[in-house]
Formats: sequence, C-alpha cells, structure tokens
Amino acid sequence: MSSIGIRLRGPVTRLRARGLLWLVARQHRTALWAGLAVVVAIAAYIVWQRAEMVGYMRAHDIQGCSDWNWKAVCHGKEIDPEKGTNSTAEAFRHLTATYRAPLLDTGRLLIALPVLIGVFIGAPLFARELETGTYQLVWTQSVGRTRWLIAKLTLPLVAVTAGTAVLAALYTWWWRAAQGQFQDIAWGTPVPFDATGPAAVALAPLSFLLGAAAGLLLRRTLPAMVVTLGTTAGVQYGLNALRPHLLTPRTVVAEADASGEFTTTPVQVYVNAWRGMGNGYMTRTGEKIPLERCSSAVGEHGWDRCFARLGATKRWYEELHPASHYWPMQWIQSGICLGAAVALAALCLWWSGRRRA
Amino acid sequence: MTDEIDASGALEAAGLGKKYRRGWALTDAAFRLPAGRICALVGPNGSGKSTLLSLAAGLLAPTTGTLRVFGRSAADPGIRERIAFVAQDKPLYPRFSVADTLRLGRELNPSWDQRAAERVVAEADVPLSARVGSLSGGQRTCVALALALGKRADLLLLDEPMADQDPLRRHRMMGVLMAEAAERGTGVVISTHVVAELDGVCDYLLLMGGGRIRLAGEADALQSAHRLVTGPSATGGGTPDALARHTVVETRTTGRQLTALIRPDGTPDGDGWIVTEPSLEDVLLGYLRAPDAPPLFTAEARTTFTEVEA
Repeated sequence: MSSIGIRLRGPVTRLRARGLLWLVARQHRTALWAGLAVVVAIAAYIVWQRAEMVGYMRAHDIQGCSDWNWKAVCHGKEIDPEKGTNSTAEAFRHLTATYRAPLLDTGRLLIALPVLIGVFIGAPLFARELETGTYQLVWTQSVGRTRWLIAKLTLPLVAVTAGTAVLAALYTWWWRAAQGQFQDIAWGTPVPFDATGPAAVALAPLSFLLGAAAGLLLRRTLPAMVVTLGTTAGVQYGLNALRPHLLTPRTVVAEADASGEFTTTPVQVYVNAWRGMGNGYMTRTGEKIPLERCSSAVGEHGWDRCFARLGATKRWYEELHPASHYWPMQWIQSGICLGAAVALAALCLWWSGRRRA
Repeated sequence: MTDEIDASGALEAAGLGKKYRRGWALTDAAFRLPAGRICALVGPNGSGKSTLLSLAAGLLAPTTGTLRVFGRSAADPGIRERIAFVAQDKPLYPRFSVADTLRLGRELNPSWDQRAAERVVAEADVPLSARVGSLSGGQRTCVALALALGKRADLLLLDEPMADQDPLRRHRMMGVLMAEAAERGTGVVISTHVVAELDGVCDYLLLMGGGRIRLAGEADALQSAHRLVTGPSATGGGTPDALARHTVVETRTTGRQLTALIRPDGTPDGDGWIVTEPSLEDVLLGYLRAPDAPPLFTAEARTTFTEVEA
C-alpha cells in the first residue's frame, strides 16, 4: 500500500493502472454519457439565456443599471420600474418578468446537482459492489484493493468536478451580467453563492465522497443513498448557516437627515452588500442596540420607550457583508469543503487498509 | 514451480480460525495441501468450506492462526497473481458483456491467457456478445470459470462451481478444467457437498464438518486406510467385540447384520466377517453420517510449521 507511488512508475504497473481505469470507465460508461449530456444541456441553456438577456439589455440600453433604488437613474433616464411608464421602466419590467425566474431556477438546479452526484454516483460506487459481491471478483484479480479504491474514486471525482466547474463558470458568467438588475437577491444566499465560483465546484467532490464513504461503511446501496441525501443536504444547510460568520460583518451607520428619512452611506456599499446580519440603533457612545432587544415591547410607544430607556439615538446601524467579502468567503467555503473531502478520501483509504488481512 | 513451493505446499494452515459475529465458522484448522493436486473440499452446508476458501483467496482475514499460500501469507498482495477464485454465488458485473468480462481479466492480470478463457466460454456455448445479466446461472458459472482459468494461476479455488450446471455442461466444464490443470500442473480446490461429483477426478481430499477439518490427505491413502466390514450384529446392540481394537468410524445395522466403516489396526478378522475396501464415497458418507468420528490426517496432509504468528 505504501508502495503505490513507486509501483506506478514501473512500465508493467502503468499498464495495469490503465487496466483499472478501463474497468472503472466501463462500469460508469452510461453514467459518463448521461452526465455529459446533462452538462451540455445545462451549459447550452445558460449560454442561450445569457445571450438573450444581454441582447435585450443592450437593445433597451439598460446594461449595468439597477432597479433596486427607486431614485436610480439609468443612462441619463430616470427609472421607476414600479410605476414608471417610459420605455426604460417597461424594459426593466420585461427583464424581470422574463429572466429572473430562469436565472434563479437554474441556480436552484445547480445547488441540487451536488446532492444528486452524492446520491446517484457516490453512494452506489462501493455499496453496490459490496452488496452484490462483485468486490470479490476484483479483489481476487492481480491488482491491489487500495489501487482499485483509488481508481474507483479518481475517475468519477475528476468527471463530476470538471462537469460542475464548467457549469459553475458559466453560471457565474450569467449571474455577473444579471446581478446589477436583481440586486435584491442577496449574494450570500444559496442561490447564487453555492451555484457560483469555487464554492460551487468544491461542493461536488465533497458530496461525491460523502456518498462513497457512506457506501463503504454501510455496505448497502439504498441505505447509503438515503444517508447521502441527508448528509449532502445537511452540509449545504450547515454551510449556509455558517456563512455569515466566516468573516466579521461590516457595520454601516445611517443618520437621519433633515427630512427625517434615512440616508444610507456609503450607498454603493449598501446596495451591493449582503444585508441582514443585524440591525438596530446606536447609543450616544456608539454601542449597538439590536432590534431584538425591544422585540417584546408592545405598541409604537412601547417600542420607542424601550429604546429610549436603553439610551438609543436616532442613528441606525446595519451589519452587512460588503460585496468585497464575496471572494474571500468563496475561498473559505471552498477550503472547508475540500478539507472535508480530503478527510473523507483518507477515511476510504483507511477502510481499505483495515480490511486487509 | 520452485522447490520452495513444493516444500511448503499450495496451502498450509496452523491454528487457523475465523469467527463471524454469529460465531466460529472455522476452528483450529491445521492441514497441508501440496501443490498441483486436485483437491475435493467436502462437507455439509455451513461446515466452513466457503470460509476456508475465502481465507485462502485473501478476501477474509483469519481471526486466529496462519494460512500460507505457496509459503506466503494469504494476505500478501504478491500472492494474488498466483491464485484464482470463483465465489459461491459467482459475482460478475451483470451489465458487462461476456467479452467485457474477459477484458476485465485481461486488464487486471499480467499473465492473462485470452485463448484459454475463450475456450471455456466456447465450450459452454456462451456467446461473447451476450450480456452477463441475461445468462442462466450455469452459463454465468462458466464465465466465472473462464475468468479464473484465463488468469493462469497456480491454484484455482472454486466454491461449488458445478452446483447449478446441467449434467452435460458439468461434464464438459470438468473436462476443460482437468485438461487445463493437467497441462499446466495447476492445483485445484473444488468445494462441494455432492460427493459423487468428484469421484475419480480428485486425488486429494479435505473433509470438513462443524468448522473443523475431519479428513485430510491423498484420496487413495485415505481410501486404503479404511475397511468396510460386514458381520453379525452384537446381541443387545453396541460395537461387537471383534471390532474393539480398530477405530470404528460408523456402524449400521440391518436386521441381524452389521456394517461398519473402520480404520483397521492390523488385519481385521473374525468369524463370519466380510472385509472389503470401501469406495471413496463410502468413506466420505461414513464420516458425514458420524460427525463425532475421530479425524484422520495422512502424513502429507500434516502441517509442517507450528503456529508462530498470532
């Protein structure tokens, strides 16, 4: 087992490694073609939808404009997608009606892909061999079972990672063209965060290995698939819950202006940010009083009295993750996923060593 | 084959035991199988035959004792090329064609003999393009045997290979197997619970019962070590005095006549006793009917090492 690296260098074993790869490719022939078809279909859909969307935005001169802020001005024209009657406002309405749902639905499909990969490719990988006894067939040929295990893991791992990388790259490309228009969709939510960038790619090997490890330990296909469904969905849920805490949120303070309305400063940070990490009023000394502190207060006056008692001023604060946190968070989450994936791969290898007499 | 192999034998066990969660499947097995023998591994269902074969194939790790294959531990990865194994339920990939299955053998074994494998498949009238999942149980067994023979191993471990074969194919498969074994001096271990299946084919015998080895050795030596004696039954039942100094394996009484399978100590004699040499089947059936009969190992079947490894 310790001599894999050395053995791979010999010409005879290189031939044999090809032999194992042949076996794994033959076993996954159908799945490989089906996976390729899925990737091509989704990729073509993304390219087509993006081209249509960008074409529409160019034709109506609304690229890079946002409808989030009702005060927004788009290329010199004032827009009010809610009530506006000019052609720009019309174009905004059409854009939202036509492209928002496909964009979000494609994102939901992409975050479901890792779960499907784990359940239908990862879980049966070893479970079916152990359940039907075909592992005995391979283990009594002339190749070592650790090399078999590595080959069985490597080929699907490369395939699902490559496929997911293509889709994640295309979806990121689509999302970046659309994000100006749909700024109400927080970038830290599962769509788009788990469907774009390296985080989307890293979920695929992790989910695959979760399935493979479940199959090795449970030795039965159906229970392994059920457990994988739970763990892969749980991992995404957990990552989503963990995400706001990956970096310390930035606090933005808004002063009430003369009109009594809040002006948010700086506007651009606020508009692009992932908001909702926490909000409330500040005291004179700059301490934060979260809104939850007075959540049990009754009535408008009760509410005001509660905050007055806590020493709140009119200064409103909001904790948020600015857009500049997107890439660091993407890399942190990818690192977590890949670390867990490496640990699972090590678990599989340990298992194969343990079963050796 | 080298001298070292001939000295240590194809299989050699000392203190070998395997415990599953439900209990011991094999206890304190110590025996030796020389290289190049055709060995019948006989015993009732659940007697530990499959466990012993899986241990020899390196699929299971022993709980106690040692099993050496050609002088090396059965767990030694280097030994895998020299043994071929056909498991009892003949696991094969159902979505592979027969040709794919043979390709698997070629891809995973350096000493693969495609012609030998194809000969077995052809002999069994299994088309190369057929999907394994669409084959009958007997045909699948033939494909599994082809895979084992194509590997060009020095020892074939076959777990009930003829159980689901029709008599004609059984005969043909046996013929192919024996021809290959004779041509290359390959050792074969065939487990079975049908005793008649192996008469005249095997030259070595391992009889198992209750997780123990009960008989081990060359078939003719085991046969000639026994006598079948027939005579008047003792009044009031029990073993007649005339047989007292021999090891009585089993006695059967029909009316006033008694038939006994004995291991004679000297020449059995006595008034009215008819002494014959039993067939191998008589010996095996006698032991199968008498689970408490004392075990017998010929000199060649005794293990040459004492257990040193835990």
